[in-house]
Amino acid sequence: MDQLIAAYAAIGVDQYEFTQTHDVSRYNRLFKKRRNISAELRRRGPTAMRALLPLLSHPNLQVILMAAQDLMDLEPARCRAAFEYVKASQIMSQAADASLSLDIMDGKIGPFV
Amino acid sequence: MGVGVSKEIEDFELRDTLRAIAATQLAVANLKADLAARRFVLALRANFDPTQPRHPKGSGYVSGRWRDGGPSAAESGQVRTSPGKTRRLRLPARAGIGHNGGPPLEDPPDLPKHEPNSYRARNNLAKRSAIWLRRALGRGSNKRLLAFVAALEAVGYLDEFFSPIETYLDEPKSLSELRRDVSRWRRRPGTEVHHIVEKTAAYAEGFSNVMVESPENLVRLPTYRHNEITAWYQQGNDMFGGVSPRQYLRGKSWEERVEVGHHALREHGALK
Repeated sequence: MDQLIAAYAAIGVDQYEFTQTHDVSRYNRLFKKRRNISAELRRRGPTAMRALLPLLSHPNLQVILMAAQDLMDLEPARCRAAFEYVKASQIMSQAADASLSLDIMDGKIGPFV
Repeated sequence: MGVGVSKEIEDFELRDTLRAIAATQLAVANLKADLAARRFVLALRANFDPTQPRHPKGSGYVSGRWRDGGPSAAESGQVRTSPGKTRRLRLPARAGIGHNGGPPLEDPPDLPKHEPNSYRARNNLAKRSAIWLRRALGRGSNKRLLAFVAALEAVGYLDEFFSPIETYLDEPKSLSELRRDVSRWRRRPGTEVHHIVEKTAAYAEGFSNVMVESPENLVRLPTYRHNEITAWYQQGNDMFGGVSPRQYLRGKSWEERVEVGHHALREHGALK
């Protein structure tokens, strides 16, 4: 479990760098890997998903954003605070996605599924 | 002491003072001539072309700058600013508007002493600088802000990116303002025209030229904002079911594309 969470956070750190240089293809390769980890945690159940909770106070904005998006159904209040923190950073694309996530939580837009 | 003697002394002191002023003026004139000669030599060394056209006085914020066209300064090795004058980075009038939480302001990007050797590396550094400046402006960190601006101006190799840095600091605008800017600011450096409904994807799915190029669908954005939005459309996104917004919008109506387009503008800080 610890290895999965560490891999999840490491992916977020790398993705952050790729968003700053608009390296979309490398970002997307990591996105698929991260989705696989999220799917595995979801398959193991809510307790496994909650292992992501410490990442809501990770120093990297992309890691916070990813964890909050994965946990928003389980821990909406803590995820809202995390989204607001990321949105206030004004750093793109994380701030834009945090803002979009808040709008979806509030029913202002979407969901786009 | 008689009145006549006193007057004589006053006249003497006056003449002495005038001589001293004249000597100072001469020294200043000599210094100016020396400076002009040095600038001229520097200009020759930099392959400065005095016949290259510039925007005339009275052209607003572009007054005195070289007109667009030709290879970039980096590609041509030529200077684009007038010799002896460094391009100044213009900050918006507002500063210190406060912020609503978020992470503390980190240190500004490192500006290497030697010029990064590719356009891409310089552009990335300029963009990181723009992001930091925007965050610093929002936090009213004027001392750090001004110190970093001075450093940006001093390194010299980022001058060609000052326009996109400046436009990145623009405040969000209304939709009508962004649309009006398409023609109003068509020569403003550091801006680009953006299609609210993505152009290539719309044409690929049979939407007409009239819709895609309609004034309703066009806005003018700061270049770096435009880059961010274009990249965002291509990135996988949990909020779009794990596909990119561009993939999600395949087969969707014009109205839904407009809705996502407006949100993209708003979430990226371009639209009020």
